[in-house]
Amino acid sequence: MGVISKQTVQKLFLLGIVEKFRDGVYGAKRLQKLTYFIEKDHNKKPFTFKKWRYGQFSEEIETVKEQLISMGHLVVIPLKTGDGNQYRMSGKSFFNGLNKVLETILPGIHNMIECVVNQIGYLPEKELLKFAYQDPLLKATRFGKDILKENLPEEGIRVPNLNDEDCEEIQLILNPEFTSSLLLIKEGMDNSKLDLDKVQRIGQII
Amino acid sequence: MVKLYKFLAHTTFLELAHQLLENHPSLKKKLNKQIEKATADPFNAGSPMRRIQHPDLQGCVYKLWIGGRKEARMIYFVYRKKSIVFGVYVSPTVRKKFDYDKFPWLQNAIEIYNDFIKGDLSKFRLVDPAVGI
Repeated sequence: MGVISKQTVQKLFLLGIVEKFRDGVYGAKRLQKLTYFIEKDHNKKPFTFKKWRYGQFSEEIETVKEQLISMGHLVVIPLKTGDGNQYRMSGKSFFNGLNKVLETILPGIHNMIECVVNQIGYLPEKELLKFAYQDPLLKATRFGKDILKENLPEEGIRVPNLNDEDCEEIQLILNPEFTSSLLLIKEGMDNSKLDLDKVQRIGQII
Repeated sequence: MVKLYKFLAHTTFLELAHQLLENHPSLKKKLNKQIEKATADPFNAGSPMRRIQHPDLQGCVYKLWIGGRKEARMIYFVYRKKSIVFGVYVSPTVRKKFDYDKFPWLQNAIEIYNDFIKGDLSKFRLVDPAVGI
């Protein structure tokens, strides 16, 4: 049995939502609202949402979204209207298998994602916001205060049907520092002034 | 023609290896053996990290156990252009006691990057079994 950190669960959750769209999610606000309405009815909550300028808002979603873009898992395409972006999975094959992992961590989540995406995922933005503003939880919360609170365990989540090795790889590939560090090392090698013939040779590593 | 690869290690990797062997001296032989294997056949010694999405990294990053499953972990980068197997990481302790999320990946990578750019010979070692111990 492996363990997945809560930061990794957040990334899997967002990818699970984007993956349900035929051609990506139109707009960051849409991604925020969808994530909120999916999470609202689930007992495990990967993100904290507060009441902000356009209603339900999670700062963590913005961070995780940027991390997924920097790692190459999400692609950003500017909308033709010039107002915002479209977020797409860079390759859906990447998410094959991870779907099951997400479902194990957040039971019932796929049905919930599908329901919410079908209900409000393709609404025009004005209608989507109108729907979001009618949320009783939002109405009952003061500006700047938390509406939903993240509640995943600090020590990570045990995944019964996934071995340690698979969990390890998922953790690593969804760790933005890991991917960035590899790219940096590669860039260093590409532009290296190191003369390999002059590097000291050793018989054993230690 | 068969390409002969060399194993290049930066001091950050050597320090991690040193910590691993301080914690688990019995893994010394196994660590050196796995480095030899990775150098001799980099594409088959370890398992590729297939889920990596970035096109510049696909097919270049491999992981390898040291001392069998659940013991220590090594990650290496295969740089085909210069026939180098670069040791990115070795877990300083056995895998189950280690948290990847807390490891300073970027801090180490910045140091490695700077040393490559400067061509700082003092920061790198080439592992060559022919040199002897």
